[in-house]
Amino acid sequence: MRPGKARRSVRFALAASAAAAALAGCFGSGGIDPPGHRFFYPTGLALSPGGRYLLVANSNFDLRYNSGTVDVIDLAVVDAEIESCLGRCRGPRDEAQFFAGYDPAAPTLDERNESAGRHTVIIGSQVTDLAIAPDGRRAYAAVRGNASLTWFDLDEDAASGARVLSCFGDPSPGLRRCDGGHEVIRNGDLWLPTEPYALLVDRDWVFTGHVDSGDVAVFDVREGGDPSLVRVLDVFPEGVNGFARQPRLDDPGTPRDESQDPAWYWLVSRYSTRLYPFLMSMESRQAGEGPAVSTGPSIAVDSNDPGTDSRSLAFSPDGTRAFVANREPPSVVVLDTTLREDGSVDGSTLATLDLGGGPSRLVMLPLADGEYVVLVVCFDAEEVFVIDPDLLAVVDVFRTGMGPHAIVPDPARGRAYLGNFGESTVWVLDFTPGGADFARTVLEIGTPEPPTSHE
Amino acid sequence: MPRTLAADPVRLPALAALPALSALLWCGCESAAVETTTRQMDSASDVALLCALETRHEDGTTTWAGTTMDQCAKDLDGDLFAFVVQRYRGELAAVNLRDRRLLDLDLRQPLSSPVVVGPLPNAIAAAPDGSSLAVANLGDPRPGDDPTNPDGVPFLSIVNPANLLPRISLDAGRPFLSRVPLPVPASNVAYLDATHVVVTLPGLSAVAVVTLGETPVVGPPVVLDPFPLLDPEGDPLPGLGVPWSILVDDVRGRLVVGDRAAPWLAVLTWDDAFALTVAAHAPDPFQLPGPSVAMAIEPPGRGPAGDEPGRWIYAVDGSSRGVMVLDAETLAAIDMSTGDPLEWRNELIVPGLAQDVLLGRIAQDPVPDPADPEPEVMHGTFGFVVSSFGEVFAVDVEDHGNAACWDGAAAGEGSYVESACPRHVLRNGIAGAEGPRWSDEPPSLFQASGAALSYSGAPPDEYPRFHDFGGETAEGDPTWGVLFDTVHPRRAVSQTWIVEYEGVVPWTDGNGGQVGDAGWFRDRAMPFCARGVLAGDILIIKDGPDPLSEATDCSAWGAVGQEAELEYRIVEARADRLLLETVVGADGNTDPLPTRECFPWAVRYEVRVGGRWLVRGEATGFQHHVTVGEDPDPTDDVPGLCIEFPDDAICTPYENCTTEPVDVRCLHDGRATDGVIHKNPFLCFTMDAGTVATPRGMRWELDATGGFAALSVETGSLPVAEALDVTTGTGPALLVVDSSSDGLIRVDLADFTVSDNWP
Repeated sequence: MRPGKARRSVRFALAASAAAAALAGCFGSGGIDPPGHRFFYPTGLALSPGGRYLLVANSNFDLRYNSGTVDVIDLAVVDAEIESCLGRCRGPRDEAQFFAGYDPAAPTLDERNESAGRHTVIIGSQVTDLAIAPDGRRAYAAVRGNASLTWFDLDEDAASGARVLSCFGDPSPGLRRCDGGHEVIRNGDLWLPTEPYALLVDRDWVFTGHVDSGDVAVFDVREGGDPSLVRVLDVFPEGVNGFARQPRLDDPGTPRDESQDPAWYWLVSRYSTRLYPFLMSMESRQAGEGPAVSTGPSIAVDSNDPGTDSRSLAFSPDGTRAFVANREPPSVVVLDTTLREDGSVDGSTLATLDLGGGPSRLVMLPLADGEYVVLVVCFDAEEVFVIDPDLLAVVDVFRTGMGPHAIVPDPARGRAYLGNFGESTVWVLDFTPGGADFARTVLEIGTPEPPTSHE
Repeated sequence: MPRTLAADPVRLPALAALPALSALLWCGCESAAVETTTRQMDSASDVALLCALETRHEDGTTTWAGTTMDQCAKDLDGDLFAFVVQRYRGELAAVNLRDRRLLDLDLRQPLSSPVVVGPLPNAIAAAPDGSSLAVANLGDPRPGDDPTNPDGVPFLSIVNPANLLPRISLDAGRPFLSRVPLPVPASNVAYLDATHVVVTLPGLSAVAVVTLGETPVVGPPVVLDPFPLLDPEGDPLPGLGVPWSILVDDVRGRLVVGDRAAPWLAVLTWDDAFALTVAAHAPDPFQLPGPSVAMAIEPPGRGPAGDEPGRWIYAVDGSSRGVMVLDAETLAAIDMSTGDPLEWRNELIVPGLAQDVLLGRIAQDPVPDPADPEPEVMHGTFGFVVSSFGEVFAVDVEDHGNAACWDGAAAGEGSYVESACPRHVLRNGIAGAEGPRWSDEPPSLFQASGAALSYSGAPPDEYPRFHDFGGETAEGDPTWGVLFDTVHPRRAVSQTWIVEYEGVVPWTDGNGGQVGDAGWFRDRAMPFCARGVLAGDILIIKDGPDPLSEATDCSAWGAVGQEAELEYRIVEARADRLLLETVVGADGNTDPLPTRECFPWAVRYEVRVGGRWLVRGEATGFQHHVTVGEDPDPTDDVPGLCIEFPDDAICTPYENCTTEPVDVRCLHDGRATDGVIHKNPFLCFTMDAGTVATPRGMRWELDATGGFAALSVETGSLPVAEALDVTTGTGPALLVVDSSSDGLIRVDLADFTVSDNWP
């Protein structure tokens, strides 16, 4: 029996405890404030553009606390720890010491923990994803608990004593709850649908995908403005679960006039066998209608039977290949997304590769010299699969902690960070080409805390 | 995956005995006691068959010896084993096909296979004499993970079945597994003879020969990128950067190597010392439709002497989901687009993605009467295509029902002239039918009576599983549906379609239209050409003006901010933009061309067909006189023009689906459906388009002719490889491994049904 299967009973226990806790949360008042120095069911990870910080969104899945949080991990401390272990650390480390602002010299444990929470912010429960804007000045979280897009100002170069992350007027450090101005739930009569799940942040637009309705909410963030909900698209199937922006060959070098040549965005759904493209064009003519949105021809995941339940997708750096994590059956489907002469996407299926159970998140990790690998997190199997895009084959598999879900690449360091939702830890994975620890865990941040140990 | 097929024809039992045999197999399967510990396989990636003979000695001991496959076929005492590599366990599982048990190879540890073949095994091959098995791993061992391989050296696993199969010998410490160090991981392996294997080494863009024995020797890698040969002009030939598939054509003394991504092949030969030499770059010209990621060759044995090499190579195209058919001599791909009308393509295309393919020859005894063919009976040479969709499709390579293929007066008379009638069509699975054919019945077209069943009234999982028939018109009527024959539910006998005259071109309603200068109108999200928009069609802008400045007078287009129906004729249709001219609209008025000043924002629009029939439907290749042509001015930034074929009549006769004119690709309706091209229409329709105008949007029902369903069998999810069992001990069968539901499935070729599965 695979270890993943052995842990199924644990997940059942988790689900049961979550349900009970949810009821308790509904009827409770106030509740317990979340800790600022702990991971608890992390569901979102994001890397600051300069590579100094890793943001970790804690979902408070079992509603143990009255809120979730977003932590700030200091990657310089992570680097130092790995270096001290000669590249690979054995055994888990307490997470507090990696939090930005942590003061190891503080005299008491409470004071050290308090210092670890200096940059942590409190958000609603059940955050589902976290992302940072391309300019690095904003972070966004899709939060199911209060059906909001919660946003944060991010100052990666914050002076000593200033906050890295803030979502309130007062910029002074300390554990504090985001104010209402940073939780977008409506714009006039236009309300954000329930169950925001997928999240995509681009330069001008932020999108949330809503898993039950299939709605896609569009937020206008052009010219650095505060996010404003401008449209809710209801043209996609229920179960919207993942987004990706299709890169273009000229993206890295030549700035494109996106008003004339906008980018394609794609989404996948739990209840559809297709990938749906759309693009933001120009301002809509109707006042208050928001921007015009055009949908393109969808393409099918028709190599699988039934091929439904796609969870996430990512593109190759040149945008000519799409990798889709599909659960029916558990696989990665590789599609040719080269643009044809008539402007439509080729859509040919190049491969379908079997994986372990429950593929969830999939990311593309650039390596040196234009090479890249595709990483697929399988929640049920508790494994990460490494796919070589040239071979179109799985070239490595490794075990994770319990319930892996969120993953974010760190190309500059040749790493990826993995959030183990089920045990509330974050692992550092090494992807140094040619390195002895390629596709292996080099540091485990956080003491594993299985769901059953929660009171 | 490389494979070597047995050359001998197979003699089937009398047909009358087949149902009974099949039933017996089922009964036996259900009632057999489980005597050994069974264990679920896990993510199988390849399978190989091996025949072994058991000898019981007077002292009570038992020994096994691998042997040639024909020994197993002749000697019922021989046991046939399927060895399955399990990708994510890095282990080898074995199934005794005689007693249908998954072997417990190590009695001491019942839930663990002792045959650990390394990380991510990808391919397995058996020696022709059964003396060994070789397993290639894609995974790169890392230092420290395996105490027996502390430096993490890549290796090729060699299994000695004589020491593996008698489980007791494990206790005796007889070595059953050895490792041959390789410079880099191997993606594939094939035997040249009993003691020489060839491996593909993607990390080096090379292939190498490994000589087995007490001290295995790895020959020097033969690098294929850069390619070591030049073309006749002395220019470099493109190399094989990622050598992947291997095909050993031992009759011709050739080794054919395919690339994972490049659409060409390398041809190598070997000398008496098994030194490889690159002999050719193939084919000439070297372009194939796609890369050959798995190959199989027709087994030798054709011709009167039974010693002619196989004529065909089937190769899985890694870019198209189909299977290419190559001439084994020239390695050129056959263009089958002029072949059978139901195979309107240049490859064999199956639902899903072709994963593996093999070719085999099946001989019935007695030879079935060609004049009364039974589609369930397979006699002749067949291809078998494993689809990711969870199915195996049978392909007719020869046409035994065609009288022209026989040297006698009629089909079945005289000798079958194998070279005369290559066929390469998906085998028809409809009982009683003669195979894929085109009806000669005159087409009919009649108005819908409402009697047609909607799709929801038919079994949706039967036909056609890869199309969405859930569409509805604005009025809620089903746009199409399939009426099923109640006797043969896979045979669709009619279908409902929408036929429109001067209607709105399907899927051309957009809300992101942008008014440009000089009459241009653009929506980058709209592939106008693919949707069938042509010059002469009408663009309707559905929004009135909304000027940026109040000082601008836009009253010529109606009231500001109101809905409108502004009509313009399309004088030039391009991939993402249209050139408009004024026209007298349906309301009798002429709308001036829109200007950016009055239409600065995105507008809603749709395109109406201008003066000709438009057929909308799915599942078949309706022809439309549209093609995407050359860009008239490549220097500008305007993409290619939607070209209207100069003579409408060329595309309009729908006599059958093969009348596609030369030099023009008539638009398949499938291209108007989310860009999908149905290269292999499983249904084809004839219709009389008529010449009389009809009201817009009226529903019509069309008679379908030539209903066709491919002969296929369902397997587990994501099948990846297959092997052909041609022994008499268990009957001719395919063995299919699926990587997702962890099974090994036996497909009985007598009736093409799943007869067993493991575990």
